[in-house]
Amino acid sequence: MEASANKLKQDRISARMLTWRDRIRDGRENNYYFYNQIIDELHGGTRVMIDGREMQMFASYSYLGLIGHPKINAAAKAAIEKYGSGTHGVRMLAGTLRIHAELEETIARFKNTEKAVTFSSGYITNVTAVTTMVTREDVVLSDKLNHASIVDGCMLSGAGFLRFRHNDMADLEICLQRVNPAATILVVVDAVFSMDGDIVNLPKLVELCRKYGAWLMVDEAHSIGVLGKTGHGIEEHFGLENVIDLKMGTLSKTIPSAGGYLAGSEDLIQMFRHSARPFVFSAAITPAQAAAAKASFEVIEEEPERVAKLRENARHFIRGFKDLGFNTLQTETAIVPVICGNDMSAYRMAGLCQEEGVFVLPIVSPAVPEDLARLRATVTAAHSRAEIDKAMSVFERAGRKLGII
Amino acid sequence: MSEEATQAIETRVKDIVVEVLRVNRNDLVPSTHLMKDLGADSLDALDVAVRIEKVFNIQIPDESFKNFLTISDIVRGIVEHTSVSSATITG
Repeated sequence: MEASANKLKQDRISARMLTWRDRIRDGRENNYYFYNQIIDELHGGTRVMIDGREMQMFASYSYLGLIGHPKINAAAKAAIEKYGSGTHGVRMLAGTLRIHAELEETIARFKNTEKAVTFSSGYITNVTAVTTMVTREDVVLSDKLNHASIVDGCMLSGAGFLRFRHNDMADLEICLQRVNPAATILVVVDAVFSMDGDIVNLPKLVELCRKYGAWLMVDEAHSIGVLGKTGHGIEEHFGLENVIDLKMGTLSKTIPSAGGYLAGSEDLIQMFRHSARPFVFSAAITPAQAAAAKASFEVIEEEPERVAKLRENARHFIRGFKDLGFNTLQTETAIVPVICGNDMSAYRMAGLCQEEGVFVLPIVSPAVPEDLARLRATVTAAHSRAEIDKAMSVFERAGRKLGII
Repeated sequence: MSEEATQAIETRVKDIVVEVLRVNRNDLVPSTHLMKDLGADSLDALDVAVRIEKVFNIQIPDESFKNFLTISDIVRGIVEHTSVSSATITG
């Protein structure tokens, strides 16, 4: 085996490294490695060039098709002209620009809160949210299917960490009853779950948090632009107002930029500006990213027809799979799990679809249970009905060939 | 190890599984698989393993987790690693 540059000893790091090497090599040689493919060009919101081939993109998080929107591109370019490409440092010290303040005001208005604050990535935002809210003397309750960034935050915080059965409010209540009544409790959920596309039971959640005096945090990474008549998110979807204490979202999906935000009361957000480690120790989002994100929130409000188009496309997409006999679990959104069975079935399904020019990706264990490996297909507002129907015939052929339908 | 001591271990293992996974004790038989039968995921398995390590004062290496996924495998693993009597089982 190869030695690393400065040591020859075989140890657990080398063992891990070589295990990955062998695994990836095996995947590549046997045509089931689909990750890290390089996209050379984006053609409109729905087609990409990979390895000289144009493919139909059905794995995007750009739910409203905003990548390349002229207003958003123009805002990013103008910010670079005005400020340059970076900042003078971390936000709390010398790194806050006017565009950051304007973005945060825009987010607070959009999410109907007093204030908002942004961080370098959605992942970092979740880790910081949980670790700043709770410490080892507190308790955090997390839905079993919450995003990895929330799980990592829970573990890092050192707080008592209980996971309740997915979207199961009865199980959440059992967990709440087990907690010391004097404890400080945070309940965290995704609004839309990223592997299954289903929506959290917000009304019941709010009721339970009020009953047991727990703080409620909701991650809206996949619900901004997706839920609610005008895409304002999960509160709009359920017709509720300001029932969530800490609203979290990302700037890298519907919003075609990078970063994440927290929105809430003035006191809460102020606390984050001074004690959140990423705010103090991590990079500010760049002027171009901040300006693009701000313009994106404005576009969502100026072009509500996109939200309607997404909803219609999602319905048509899900209907297409169901009519063919595929299992799409409980999705109601633009994220559609297409259950294949075991890991290898999911790999082969993805392979067949990609061969026919449809870019979808397999999700396998341990990210999902062993017999529920799937394609995670997504649709956006940019797709035309014709594109969806064409892709559906590819899914049909692949599914029949593998005996899934 | 005596039949009695093994039984005591099995009882304690079931206590742990029932508490950590919030399942019905009546659903637990020796062949019950934490993931396939009880819907546990990898974090749940880790929680169970950490509790077992603490209660039985043993170390389960990460690579061995996959051998500790049914009730009977867990009990057998503990019997093999634990020395001597039921007096060593702590609360």
